[in-house]
Amino acid sequence: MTLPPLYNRGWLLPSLVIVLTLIAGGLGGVWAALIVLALGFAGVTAFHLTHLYRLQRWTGSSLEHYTPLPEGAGIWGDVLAALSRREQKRVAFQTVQKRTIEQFHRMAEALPDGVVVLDGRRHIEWANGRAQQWLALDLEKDRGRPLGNLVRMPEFLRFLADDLDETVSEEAVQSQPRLLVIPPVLDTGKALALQQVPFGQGGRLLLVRDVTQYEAAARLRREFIASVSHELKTPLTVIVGFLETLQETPPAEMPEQTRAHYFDLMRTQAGSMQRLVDDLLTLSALETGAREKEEEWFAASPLLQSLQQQTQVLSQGKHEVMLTLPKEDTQIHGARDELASAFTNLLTNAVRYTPEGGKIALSWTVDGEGRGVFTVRDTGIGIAAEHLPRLTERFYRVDRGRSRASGGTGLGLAIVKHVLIRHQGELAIDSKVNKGSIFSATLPAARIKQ
Amino acid sequence: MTTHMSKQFDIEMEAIRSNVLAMGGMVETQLARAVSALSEDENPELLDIVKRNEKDINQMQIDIDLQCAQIIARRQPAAVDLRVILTISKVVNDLERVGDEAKKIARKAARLQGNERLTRMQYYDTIHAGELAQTVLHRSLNAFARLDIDEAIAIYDADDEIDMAFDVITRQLIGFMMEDPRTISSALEVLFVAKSIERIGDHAKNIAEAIVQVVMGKDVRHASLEEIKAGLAERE
Repeated sequence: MTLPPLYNRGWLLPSLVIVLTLIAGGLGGVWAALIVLALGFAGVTAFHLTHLYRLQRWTGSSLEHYTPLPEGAGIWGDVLAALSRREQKRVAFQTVQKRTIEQFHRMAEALPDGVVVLDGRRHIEWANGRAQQWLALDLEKDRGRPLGNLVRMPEFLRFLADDLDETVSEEAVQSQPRLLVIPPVLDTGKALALQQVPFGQGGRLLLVRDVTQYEAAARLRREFIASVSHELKTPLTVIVGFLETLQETPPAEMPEQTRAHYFDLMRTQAGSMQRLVDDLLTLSALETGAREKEEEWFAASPLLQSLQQQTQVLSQGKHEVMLTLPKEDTQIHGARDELASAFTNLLTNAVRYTPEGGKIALSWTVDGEGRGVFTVRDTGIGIAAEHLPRLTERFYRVDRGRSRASGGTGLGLAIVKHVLIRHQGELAIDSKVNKGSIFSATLPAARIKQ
Repeated sequence: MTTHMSKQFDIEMEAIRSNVLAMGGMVETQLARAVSALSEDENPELLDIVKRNEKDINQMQIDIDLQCAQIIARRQPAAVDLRVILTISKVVNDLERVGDEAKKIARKAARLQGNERLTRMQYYDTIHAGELAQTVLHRSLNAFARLDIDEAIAIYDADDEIDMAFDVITRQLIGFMMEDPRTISSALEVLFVAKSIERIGDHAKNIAEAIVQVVMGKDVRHASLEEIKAGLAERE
């Protein structure tokens, strides 16, 4: 126990009162001493009470910022000055702390990922805006609620129930990310990748990443590979079947005619496999842009005339093939081979889907805005409206059997679309069932010169 | 001692609620699988997966019912806690039924795959109604997790929408059947799917009613929406 030092200024007033009392007692007797004593201590008490009152009033002030402490005399001056210094320090510290917390929150919001802080029982402690949006949480309502009650997919619950080994080193945590990709959650339609790491006392940090686009791309790739395999398998099965028959049947038992027929069929199938592979290579070259673009100015008319001749050969005289050209020849800027293959694809389709005796009209015109329009109009079987939007998708076919029978690969229009995209052009399709179709490829004005 | 006991009780209650919601998550996943089998070509194992999970769901129902019985016997809960437990039995019942309906939809979807007579385009509305039912179920379970009475009441309207969709689908299917009698057997399959979807909407609504009952302490199963809203206003 430490006694207050005697020179403490707090003792000054009471000592003064006692000294005055003694003097009064010496001069005027006991009554005078008593009166001086009473008045003196009343004065001391009043002095302290006023200061206490001021201090009490000050305690009602706001905690947020510094409010100057009341002034004081004597011992109160010392105490209030000390308190004032402490208060100033506290406020300064608090400001720094508040800024740090604000900065942390801003940082968490700026992160491209979602973050959820979970306690030991997997209850939500905190989540940043992205995590709330992606997992359809509302921190106002959901703080303290088990996360598993709101994100309920069985695989997510298993993921969450995983024990995180907290004794493992940081490197081990890094090297074994605990990852789960959840399929689009109903509310948000997002595919999310999750990872959790130990955090705080028994809690964990859940990191959420949006992988919707990766998932969509992966899905497309899977579907594409499945389609290609399927397309290649069909002709291959036929070829293998005939090969087995040819191998197992003694030559003597098979008429020459049958054998020749088998070889013909196998050749047809091998041909369709080859066309498919060629188309795939073309498409991949177009997509990756691997092939150097050999763009040049070239005249339209010779190309179109040769296309007309090709079409007539292809049609074997079964259709009437007409060509309309503008009076003055136009020049096109682009990769001649690519455009020729795109236009050929459109013409091949016209021949393929127009019954014998039908008409195929090709035309090359320059429209009012200077754009070049290549149009193929046929009187074929046409396409129902519901198929039009998906027609340029790879392997999309209106009628599988018919397309394959006529040697289609299912990639023709996809190639056309890609060639046109490379030339900033576009493909328009208009068609009526049993009336015919109009395919028009438009090239931008910048690529046309008259 | 008493605080320790009540804390333990809270933990047990939370465990039951979490189990109910975990079961809900499984049922939701089943329904999502069934609806996706309607809308796109799915792998043939899907039906097996759905059937296997159906068994798990049934087992969960039994487990949760047992947990409810045990907590009533051991802790004699009162007031809100008792209401929650009694309601949970009902919710679990509804969830199990939704699981059944999802299985039925998956089975019919498997039969409709690659159907030439009735194309997906023609039962697009049914697929859409299925997605709607998925949303309504999801919302009702969220409302249960949050004991959110406003959301629970909003589900009433959503269920009406499904009922309306069912009427439209029925009429549409009748149209197809009259146009071309060869579609009749497929159209009937689709009709059963639509009926299952309509039932799922009703079960989701039952769950919503259970939530209102827990929060308000009032049985609202046969009350009209206006009566419920009036009761709610009175409470506030």
